[in-house]
Amino acid sequence: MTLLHAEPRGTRMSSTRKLVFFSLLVALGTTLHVAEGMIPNPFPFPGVKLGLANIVTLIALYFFGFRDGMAVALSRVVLGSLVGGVFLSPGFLMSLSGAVVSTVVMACLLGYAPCFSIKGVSVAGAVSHNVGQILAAAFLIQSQTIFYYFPFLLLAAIPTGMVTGHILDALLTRLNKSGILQEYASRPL
Amino acid sequence: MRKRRLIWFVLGALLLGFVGVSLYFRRPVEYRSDQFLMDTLVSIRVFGTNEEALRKAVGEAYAEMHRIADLTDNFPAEGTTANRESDVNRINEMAGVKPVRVDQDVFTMLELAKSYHDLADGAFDVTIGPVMRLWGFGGNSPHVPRAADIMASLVFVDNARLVLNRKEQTAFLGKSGMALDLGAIAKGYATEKALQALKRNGIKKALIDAGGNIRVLGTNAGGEAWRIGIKNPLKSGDILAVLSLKDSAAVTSGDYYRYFESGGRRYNHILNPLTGYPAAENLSVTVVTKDAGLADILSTAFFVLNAEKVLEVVEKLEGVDVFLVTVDRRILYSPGLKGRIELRAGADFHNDQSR
Amino acid sequence: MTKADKYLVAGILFVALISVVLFHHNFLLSQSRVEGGQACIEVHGKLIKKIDLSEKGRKETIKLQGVMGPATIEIAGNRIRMLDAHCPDQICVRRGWIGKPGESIVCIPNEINIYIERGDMLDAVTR
Repeated sequence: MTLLHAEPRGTRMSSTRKLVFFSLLVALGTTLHVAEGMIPNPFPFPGVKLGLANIVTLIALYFFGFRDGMAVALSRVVLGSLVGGVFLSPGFLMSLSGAVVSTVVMACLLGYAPCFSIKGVSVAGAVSHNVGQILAAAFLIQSQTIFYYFPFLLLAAIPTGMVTGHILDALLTRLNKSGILQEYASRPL
Repeated sequence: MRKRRLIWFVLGALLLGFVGVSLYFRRPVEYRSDQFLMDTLVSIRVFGTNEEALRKAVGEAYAEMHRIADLTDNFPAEGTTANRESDVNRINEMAGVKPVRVDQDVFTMLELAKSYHDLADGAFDVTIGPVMRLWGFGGNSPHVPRAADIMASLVFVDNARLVLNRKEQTAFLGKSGMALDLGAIAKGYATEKALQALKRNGIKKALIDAGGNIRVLGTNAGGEAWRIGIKNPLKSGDILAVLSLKDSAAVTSGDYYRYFESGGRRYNHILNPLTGYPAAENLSVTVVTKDAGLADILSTAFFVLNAEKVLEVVEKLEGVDVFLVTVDRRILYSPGLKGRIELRAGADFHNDQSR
Repeated sequence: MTKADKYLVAGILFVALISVVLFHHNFLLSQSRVEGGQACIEVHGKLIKKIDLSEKGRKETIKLQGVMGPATIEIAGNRIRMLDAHCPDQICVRRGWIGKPGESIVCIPNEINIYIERGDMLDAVTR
């Protein structure tokens, strides 16, 4: 199916356009990554993120497919951590783990599970993002105690995913109405 | 359509209810009980899900400790309560006369004591009774005896003359005037018996603190190793190091616990069986191993020996580790403790760990 | 939201519930270890008093001299608070009680810092 190839199902975007788009997404993602890092973290381990920056990954997946989606995700984690001064810290590894896992999950759902709406994919992305984070944390701290926070993270992911999903939904509807980018969409809008 | 929804709702409610109820009955409970016995405060903490079962287990554990205490009580009547019926008292009274049939546990303790005497090159000897009496430890007025008296009492310290007969389960002190003192093993052994009682009752997580003799079962409530501090022998309230233990015992012999001062010098109650004088090599010795009784024996034996010798002996023993603080303020510990110990010693001590 | 989405959310809620059962029975008790640390009182950067907060029934008031004037600190069992201080905004007083390791009350004008150290968190001491 589409998502395993580099090109979206629709018309191939010109590479200039794609570059601009890509950069915008990465910039947005980085900003979001840093911004959500400033939200006070109630957990005793550093660097837990809500997963708002996923919105950017999802857009990328939606329009560009898996490879580019993953590229955006990785870029925003790396750049975001560099900007935040936490590159290669435990928080960075957790974000990386979360981003990778959620990108994979969202890509699979987008491509193979049309029964889920964008909202659903977003929620799944937020949840898997947190699962990825907690797995990395457990590995880093080398203790099981971390799993105490598992239910809280899961529950927190639901509203996060829904918010991101709603925003994207609105965005895509607007785009659909105005006809922009319709030809590039990997799914019918 | 309505009906379908209702069914789902009821099922959901039932599920929640089920989870709630099982959570309530499986909720973790801690039970803690303290008792004064063996001349010290014993504290037992157990974790589980059924308070009744915990209470019962702890009751049995204390019963075991009382039993061992009664069997080994040997302080002669000097205003202190002595259990005339204790096995140890009977053996002492029949010294040089005839063998005495003893309880299985007393026999086991004596066998252990005898076997470790040789391992420690004579540094551990339960026939030290007469010398202990001479010094007055256990009574109200300990004092420094005359050298001649000490020499004389040493004649009655003779591990070889403690004769044990396994078939008859008897113990015999070969010479009149000899006396046993199980103070260096009874508390640890009792602690271990108590723990076995807890285990028999299905307890999986527990901590017994018998006046500083620590024995832990399993992990703490959170599933992690128990954190046991090692007291600074020179500063009260201060901790030298923290051990992370699971299913182990940690027993310390120190020169700060029971002692008296005379002429500006401190005399502790752990006597060197070869000289008759208090041991002066170390400030404190902590032995970590699975069995609390063994830990008690070894901590006393090692306290008398010098640090290098102790590490040598420990290397040959399996499953035994030690942490020492010598009189010249050096800290040493066996390599087996690496990964389980966190040092906190300040400038007062010199970490001599070269391994 | 599609039907599948709803099932997804329901599924996540369910998993969260199950994980409470799985992971929490172990940890509900370890919370008790977190409280009961030592409270440290510093004035002008110097530690002047350390208080053990693990005695449940303890009630005490401490009067000390801050840079701007006298201040009163109250201790009740395992909590401590700034009862009264001579500072314009009274932020420190409004902070209320603290008791968990890592928490702190700071009165900047008076240069008073009250903070809770991580307690030793030892289960026992071998001696």
